[in-house]
Amino acid sequence: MNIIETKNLTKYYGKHRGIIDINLQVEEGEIFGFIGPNGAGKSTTIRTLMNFISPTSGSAYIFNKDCQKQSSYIKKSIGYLPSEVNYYDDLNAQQLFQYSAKYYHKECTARIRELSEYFELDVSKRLDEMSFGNKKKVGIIQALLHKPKLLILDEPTGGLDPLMQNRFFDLLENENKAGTTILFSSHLLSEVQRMCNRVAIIKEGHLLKVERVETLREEKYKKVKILLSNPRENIESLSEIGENVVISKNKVEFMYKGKSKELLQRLNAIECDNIWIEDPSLEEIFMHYYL
Amino acid sequence: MILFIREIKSNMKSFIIWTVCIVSLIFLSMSMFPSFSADAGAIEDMMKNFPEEMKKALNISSLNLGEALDYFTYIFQYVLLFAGIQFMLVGASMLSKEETEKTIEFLYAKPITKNYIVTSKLLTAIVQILVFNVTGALFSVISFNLFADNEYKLKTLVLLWLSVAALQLFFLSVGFLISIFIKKTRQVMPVALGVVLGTYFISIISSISDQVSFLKYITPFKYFDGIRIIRDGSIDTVYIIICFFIILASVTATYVCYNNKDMNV
Repeated sequence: MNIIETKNLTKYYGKHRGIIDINLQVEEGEIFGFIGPNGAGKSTTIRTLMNFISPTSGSAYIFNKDCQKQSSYIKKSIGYLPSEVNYYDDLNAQQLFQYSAKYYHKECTARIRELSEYFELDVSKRLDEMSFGNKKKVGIIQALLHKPKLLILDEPTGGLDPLMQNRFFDLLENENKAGTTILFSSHLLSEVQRMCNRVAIIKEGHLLKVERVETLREEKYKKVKILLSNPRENIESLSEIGENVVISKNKVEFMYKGKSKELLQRLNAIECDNIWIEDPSLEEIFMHYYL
Repeated sequence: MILFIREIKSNMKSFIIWTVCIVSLIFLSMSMFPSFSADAGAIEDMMKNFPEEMKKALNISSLNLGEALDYFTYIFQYVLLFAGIQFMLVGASMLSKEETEKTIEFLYAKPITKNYIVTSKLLTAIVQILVFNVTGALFSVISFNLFADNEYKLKTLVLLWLSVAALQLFFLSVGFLISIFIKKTRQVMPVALGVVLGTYFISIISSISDQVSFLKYITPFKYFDGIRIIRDGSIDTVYIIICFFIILASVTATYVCYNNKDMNV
């Protein structure tokens, strides 16, 4: 079953492009990554799904319900974390959580305590006195406290230190195992790489590709870097097999896709001081492939 | 109910401050009435020398300030002005502050409709208007008791305070509508004050010059002119109808515009 589905979803802000013809399907139980540079349309898509803004054309469905017409019904089962967390200055974290919980008509006290302890958050502190990272924690707990079926996270890790990021990812994995579907937007591929089953790549308002993370990795690209002993060495044989060859003085870098044996044979003929053969990061695969 | 309770709480402080200030204005002014009425003759003489336009502008041309109710009505026009400003500010900031303080994403992510948000905030303000006017009426009765030997008609006082409530509702609903188009906090104050003071000056101009007396139909300060209320013992039906329709139109337009509006953060 599709938890999220959009059909030719398009949004213009006046004449400015937001997103154009986005077709997206997120299945139940998935962790779905949403990747693209700043201004590509990630937040626009998410805000349209949340009915914060209405689409220029096209339609969006969550739990098979129309995102515009049945928004308040849908939101009972959604946890949302905005990219910039802003809350009421006159409340402390505990008061905000209780206020938030009231809207879901659920008893969340135990869960609030559990999550606050997990993230080592001082809930008696007022929100306007909190650091950016702590506000983010408040946002995360606030999104999770009513045990939503779908989590929509817009660049969730900004401001969190690495330790808390890890805890956060562990928590998401557990929530996902318990059945929560997660839509996760980010401009950092390493996050998506770690968390997601599938990723959608968005650029300049267009959806470029939806791909399984594994498939992307299975494209057996190798990143090869060589430090030549002799800068005048003939490296034509490498240029023939490599893609995106970059040469600077005695350093050669390229991407290679093919049989390892052939690569090794060609490398064998070259005098070199050092050599690196690595799996490229998703980032590099993306750069190579699509962007 | 959840948002309504939250709004009542978070707006409590500024509401109390405004209410205390306006009620004190009435109370203090009335406390000066005994000494004022003792010298009423001298003041009347002085005012006779005022040019007619100035008396019209101050709205005292037909007032006998030696009479308690007339004296009260003179103060009352400033009560109207401040009460108008108060609820214009409430109206103009209630919806827009969620966006300017960027808390709107929190609210919109909750399982509630936009209508629920507008209704909760509107109800909060209406409750404030009720409380404000009951308090105001109560303290004016008390001050008449203390300082003016009970020289008032209850019906007139009730009418006066009903007209404050109507004027507040007027500015509240106009404020709500305007607030949908407000994008920054610093725009709230000048816009709100501009509208209230603007209509106040229009009401003054319309009393000074007969040529522009048609302007009286566009300013709520003319609808609820205290002097006419104490002389006639009633509010002109035409004005009640105009006021009612402006409020109705503003509130309806608020719901429609707010529902069709994109979040602006």
